[in-house]
Amino acid sequence: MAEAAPLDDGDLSKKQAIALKRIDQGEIYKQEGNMCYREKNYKKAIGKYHRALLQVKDVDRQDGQQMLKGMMGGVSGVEDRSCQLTATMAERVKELEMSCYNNLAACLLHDTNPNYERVKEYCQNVLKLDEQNRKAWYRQGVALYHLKDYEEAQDCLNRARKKVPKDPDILRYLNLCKEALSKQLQAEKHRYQGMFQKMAEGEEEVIEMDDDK
Amino acid sequence: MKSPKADATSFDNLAYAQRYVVMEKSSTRCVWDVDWKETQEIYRDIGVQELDPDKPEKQTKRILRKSQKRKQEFQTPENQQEQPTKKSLSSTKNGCKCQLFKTYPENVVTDKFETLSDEIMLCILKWLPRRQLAKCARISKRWKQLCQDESLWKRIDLSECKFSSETLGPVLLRTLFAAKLARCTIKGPLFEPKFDAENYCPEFMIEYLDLSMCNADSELVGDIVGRCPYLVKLSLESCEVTEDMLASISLQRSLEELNLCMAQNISGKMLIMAMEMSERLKSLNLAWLNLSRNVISSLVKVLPQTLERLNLSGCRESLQDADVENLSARCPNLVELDLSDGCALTGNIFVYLESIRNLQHLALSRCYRIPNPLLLMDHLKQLRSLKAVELFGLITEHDLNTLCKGLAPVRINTHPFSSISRPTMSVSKRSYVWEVNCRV
Amino acid sequence: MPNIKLQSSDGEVFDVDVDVAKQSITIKTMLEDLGMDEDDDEAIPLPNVNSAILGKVLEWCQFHKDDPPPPEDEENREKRTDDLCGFDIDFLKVDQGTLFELILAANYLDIKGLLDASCKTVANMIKGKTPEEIRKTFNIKNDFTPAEEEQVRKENSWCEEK
Repeated sequence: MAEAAPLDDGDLSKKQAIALKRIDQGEIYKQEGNMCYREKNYKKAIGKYHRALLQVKDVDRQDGQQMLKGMMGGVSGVEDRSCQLTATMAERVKELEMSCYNNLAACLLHDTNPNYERVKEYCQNVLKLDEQNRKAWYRQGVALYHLKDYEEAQDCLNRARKKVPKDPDILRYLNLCKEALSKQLQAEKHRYQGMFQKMAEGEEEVIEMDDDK
Repeated sequence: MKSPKADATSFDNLAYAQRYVVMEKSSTRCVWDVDWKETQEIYRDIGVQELDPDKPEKQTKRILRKSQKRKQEFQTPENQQEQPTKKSLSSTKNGCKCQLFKTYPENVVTDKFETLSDEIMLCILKWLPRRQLAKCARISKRWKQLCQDESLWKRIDLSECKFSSETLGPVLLRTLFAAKLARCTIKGPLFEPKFDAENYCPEFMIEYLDLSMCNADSELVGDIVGRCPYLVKLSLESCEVTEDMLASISLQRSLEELNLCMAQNISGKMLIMAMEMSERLKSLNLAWLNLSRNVISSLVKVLPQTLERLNLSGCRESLQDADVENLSARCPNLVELDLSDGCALTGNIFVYLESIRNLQHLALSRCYRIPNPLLLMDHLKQLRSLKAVELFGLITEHDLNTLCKGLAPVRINTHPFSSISRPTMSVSKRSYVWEVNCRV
Repeated sequence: MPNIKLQSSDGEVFDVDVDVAKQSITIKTMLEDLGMDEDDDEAIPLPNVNSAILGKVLEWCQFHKDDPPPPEDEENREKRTDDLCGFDIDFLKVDQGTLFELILAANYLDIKGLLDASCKTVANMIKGKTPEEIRKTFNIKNDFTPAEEEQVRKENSWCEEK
């Protein structure tokens, strides 16, 4: 690849070539994953997305030995591993990671008993790379709803709404959150009402203070 | 084709030799009947290079063994640091003017740390003790930057270290949580004046600070305390405590534990003010401050009501029964109270102490006016929450046994020294500041 | 015992017990996401680890497979480097190159126990040495000017005496 790397420098462009191969392979896995997803074969898709991520993980610190071996036929010692990714390559890695984490979250949500904590974790990985990512905010909101963290869920869903305010899925979940929150409020009201009644009837109610550490 | 870096004279010599077949040293020399340029190419392909006749052994450029399309010598950023291989064979004895370079020597001597990211480097550095880290900062620029990373300096135990001027400031700047500087010798100023000015007198994030018995100018200690707005626990045991320091302390919003035991030259007025302004103080050690009667009598009326542990030992004649009455009314949440060496106290205090519902640990050692505790067994029994009491110097061995039986399960005379607000008491927890281990 | 196939960067495939492979959080996460399925028997390529190192890593994982999960870095626990078990000490008696490769592999695969052990080993090689000795041991280039180095030494002079 002719970008940035001085053509004269044999070693560097070789390393970049290897990095490039890994990025290409990562994208292939991702595409295969997307196909599986479309065919509703979610488990297989998950496997593909993970493999894609493994290709690009630490790709700027690749296996120097592999390259050396190819040239010399077995050499011990560690050559300098670091490989300066070109801007294009770095961008592709970022895009790939974002897609894979987003799609993994989507796959997990299709499960009969989804691991919502994991969904949340993957969404956060996407948001670290792109804090405006609508899908990640939405899916994080969904996960938080199921984890009963309704206020946080609303926050995430509202962020997802910014670009598409009328998205029906987002609105649906926002409604669900609202209902859940109002139910919670009712339950609390009942509890306190009970307490106040008791106090009014003269029973001494000892309220335990939390020991703040 | 670019010419190799060997200097021009060698080419001239070769050309000369070719032209005039100089035989003296080169009887075995082959004169190639190919173009000289191609000769060089061939040499390079087989990994040899002409020796510069003027500098026989100094050529150190690495040459790639595999033939390259480019003819220039091979230099990449990575191998610039590499040392020349020691396995070169050269001999001018037989007129052979070539030096064989092993291109990928078996032991590639590179800096392995260059292969590691900063994150992984920190994983290694976190296992090193602080002193070693400080030494390692000298290794290279990258090492300096990593060794001084904030994540490695959250808690420091630098007891007994000697800090020359302008060295302590930067260390405290990166200490994010707890600093144990007991018995250190510190020379001011904290920072280079230029640094201080440029950074608007930087603050420290430290929350747990132990300056017990440090050997430093009171102005310097005051400077340190003044720069720590987030203190939670502070020990200035045996330090000279100035009015400025007390003023800083009174401004602290999060301070929970304060140790001023044996502080020298303390201003009663400022101390009273500091106590008035304190909002959260839970543990306070004011032992052996030589406060006057007036100061104490005013002080006990303004002590923070949040107090759970209080050490007012060593007041001698200055602490009166009336003060204990005021104290008990003021601080009903006390769990631990040390009034040892309060020679003016009499048996009347027990009535007042009964109003402290949760009093678990009471120390009255060497309060010689208190009558024999056997006579006061009933009073002691009235302190329902009491778990331990110190009566050193007040009872004989024999009386101790009787008292133990009478007051069981209350423990008597098990703690000769108060631990109130003290960062550490035991030898095994030497590097602790309160509950935080600094030797991590 | 269910197995899983791991493929090193140079193409070698390792057939590994799932319990052994799960020492790697990266692999464990993937397996959890997949549920009980064995994922079609397709190998998992690990392009950052060559066969020699992967073999060693799996050897470590095999030995430690019944270990309880390593505790979270407790804030108050003193960080000791002299508490490596006998197996780890012998296991890590390797040349520098391999040691660093193991660190990189443990990081890539997220195997905390191996990462800690190998980092501790390197830390032990650093402990007690002067900067010059450390440079020699690891062939680190000193890019300070003499004046700069003196400045750093002065800033940190408190570390020298006791």
